[in-house]
Amino acid sequence: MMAMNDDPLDPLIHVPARLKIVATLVALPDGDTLSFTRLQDMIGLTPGNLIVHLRKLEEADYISSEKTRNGTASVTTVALTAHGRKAFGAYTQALRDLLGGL
Amino acid sequence: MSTGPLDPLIHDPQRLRIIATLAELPDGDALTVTRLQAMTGQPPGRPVIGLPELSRAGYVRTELAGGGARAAVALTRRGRAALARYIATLRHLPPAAGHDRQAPAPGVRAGDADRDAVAAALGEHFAQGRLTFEELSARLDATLAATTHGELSQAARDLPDPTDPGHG
Repeated sequence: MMAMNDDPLDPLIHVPARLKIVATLVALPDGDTLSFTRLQDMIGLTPGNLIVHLRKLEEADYISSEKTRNGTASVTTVALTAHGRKAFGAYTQALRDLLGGL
Repeated sequence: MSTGPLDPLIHDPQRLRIIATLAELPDGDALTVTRLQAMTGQPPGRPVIGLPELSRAGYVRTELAGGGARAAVALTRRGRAALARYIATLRHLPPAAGHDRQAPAPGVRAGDADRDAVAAALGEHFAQGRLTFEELSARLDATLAATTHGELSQAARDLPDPTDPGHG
């Protein structure tokens, strides 16, 4: 298991675009995935932007992605890993501590 | 493109710490620079990182009564309002996550009504041009043969929610 980031406001999650991605994925029931296009619709990033952020999250093992061929088109789906879910929990806890009672 | 209206002035970790610390003070109260640094984990005896931007935006007010370290820092009304908006934005973060209404776990068995709903949705996607006829029939076969919700969601995996019930 990889070490969590030391900064309580995990910079990997804190960047607004990635915060949106992770917050969207964490709302899925455990084991569910979201297609790249659906995620893009929900978040409103350009594909290039989204890919860069997803790659960062995947390098940290916060998300996993899977590419499946579907006829001629290939579909990429992403999901939060257990590690990513835990990191997001720690992140929101840090935010809550920071903004506690506000 | 929208990365969301999370006020970037507040979202920066250093500034977020400053503004959250100041917001906990009773209205009208101020902190000395030294105290603020101690409470936000910044080293004393140096300019406070993030403070100039917050001052310029009118979110905090610094009164240089006794000079540098003894100057009093307080949140302005504007800063308090901006923080309230920021927190409200955070609360509503997963923008459309409500769409994925409490879907049953993938391993849960699907019933006829579940299969019918997915089949109807596929037909709607075909009508709207998201699926070719071949894709539609392949997916309909998969849908009608599906025994679990996991298999059903696989049949509709890359399609938007056609009913879009909204949320709230």
